[in-house]
Amino acid sequence: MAPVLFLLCACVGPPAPDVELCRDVITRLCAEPVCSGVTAKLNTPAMGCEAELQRRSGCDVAEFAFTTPTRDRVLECRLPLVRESNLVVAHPPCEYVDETFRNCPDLVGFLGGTP
Amino acid sequence: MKRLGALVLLPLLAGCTTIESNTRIERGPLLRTFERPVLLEGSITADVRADWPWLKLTVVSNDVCRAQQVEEYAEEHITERTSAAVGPALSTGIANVLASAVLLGSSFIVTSTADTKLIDASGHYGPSTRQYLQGASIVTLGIGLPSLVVGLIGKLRTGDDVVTKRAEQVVSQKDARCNERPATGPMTLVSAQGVAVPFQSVDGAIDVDGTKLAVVPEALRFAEREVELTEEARATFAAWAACVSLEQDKAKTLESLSESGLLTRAERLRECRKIRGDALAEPVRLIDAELGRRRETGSPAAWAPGTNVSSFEEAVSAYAPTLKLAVNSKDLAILDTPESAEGRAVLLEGLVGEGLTENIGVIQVGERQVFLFIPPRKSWGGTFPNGTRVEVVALLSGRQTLGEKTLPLLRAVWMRTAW
Repeated sequence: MAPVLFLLCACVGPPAPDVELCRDVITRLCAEPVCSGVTAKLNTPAMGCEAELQRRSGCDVAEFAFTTPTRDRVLECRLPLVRESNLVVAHPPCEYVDETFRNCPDLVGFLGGTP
Repeated sequence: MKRLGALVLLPLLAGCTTIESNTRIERGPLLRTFERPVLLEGSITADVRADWPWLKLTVVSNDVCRAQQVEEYAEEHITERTSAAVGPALSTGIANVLASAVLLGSSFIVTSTADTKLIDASGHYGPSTRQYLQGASIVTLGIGLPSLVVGLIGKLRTGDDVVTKRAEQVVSQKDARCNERPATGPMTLVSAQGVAVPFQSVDGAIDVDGTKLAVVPEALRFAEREVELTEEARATFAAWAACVSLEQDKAKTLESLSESGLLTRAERLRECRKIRGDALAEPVRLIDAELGRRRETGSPAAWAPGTNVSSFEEAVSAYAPTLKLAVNSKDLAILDTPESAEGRAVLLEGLVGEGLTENIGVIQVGERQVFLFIPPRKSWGGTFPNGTRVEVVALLSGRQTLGEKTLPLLRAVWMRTAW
């Protein structure tokens, strides 16, 4: 069994810290051009979308850790955003962004938006 | 659990390689030559003496002593086991295991830092370069290790086995009669019809009274085995059997016998005379006289040529030719007036000439020619092409005209090649 586990482990790296995961969600939402749903739901400014959302959620500090929503909940809500690509810089299609907001009003609230 | 897995896995891997086995035998040096005696069942023989009416048999059984000349060799039985799968399996195994080792070794000189440019759905970073190389190392090892094991097992199972044995070859053998001893046991005289008359031999001796037999014996058997007779013994037994036949047939008078019966009795008399000698002189004279009388007075149909004799000698005996038609024979003068000697038997010696019809040919006798009529139901065999020298027992039958030729006609009784 050990070699098989080793083989499986070889496909992934270590878990990303909560702060990096939080910033990954915000980076994907604020990737240019910003989707209209983001502006409408999260009331983000025209400039400095990432900085504003990090401030609202608290993940602008390195010691950030998820409480509500939990890390697992965030991962679940993030699924449509990584459906096309795992790359951090990838821009998710706007309909996937809308799907995320539809499924996760708690995430919208966490990011300071209107559920 | 691990040991059980290994026990199951190893036979499975070994089963992947088909081992072809081929055994050849190579003869080595000659070790020795010796003689081996073998005792085999022999034959039953009999010494036959006839003193009419007694047949005195001395039955002897023997073994066959066989001396076999045997050569003993050393012989190598070489079994070669090969497998076509061993080479490819070993090369694949070695190449992949080496590649795995190289990948594993290389993995320690590249970065182990995770790929932070991506975070997957489960929240993990991407694998590091070291992890990639080690994963590839595991995959190549997974291919190479089973191949290597299969190759090694196949290699262990192939090879040559040499077993040295001793082998014998019988190069010659010689049989000899041995252990001859009088035979005691059941003896039977068997007739042509298969009727068996039982006797009991005591110390090999049997005396048979020919006047007490109801059948004519033709063969001797001892305990269901044929008794072998020498040529001389066989002739004596045949002569005694002819006497037995005459004894059983003596009630019939000569006048009551048919022509064939008469000829048969004449034949038996000649045979029986070999052991009874002059005691049969009078019967022989009487039957010859009867045969002569019937030739003179009997019906021609009864004496149809070629139908009632079975050999040249019998034809000579039965027809007793008084004229000889051969080169330089004074009897050739009879051909000038064949009508005067019609029905007389002649012995003709000449060369076969042309065949005029299916049954009539020309025989050249010196400067003379005759027609020879060959009956359709002839008893003799063989072919007589042109130029064959023949001798014929025949009856003069006057003169015949065929085409432009008119020649004396002879009716063949028996014809054979002369040399």
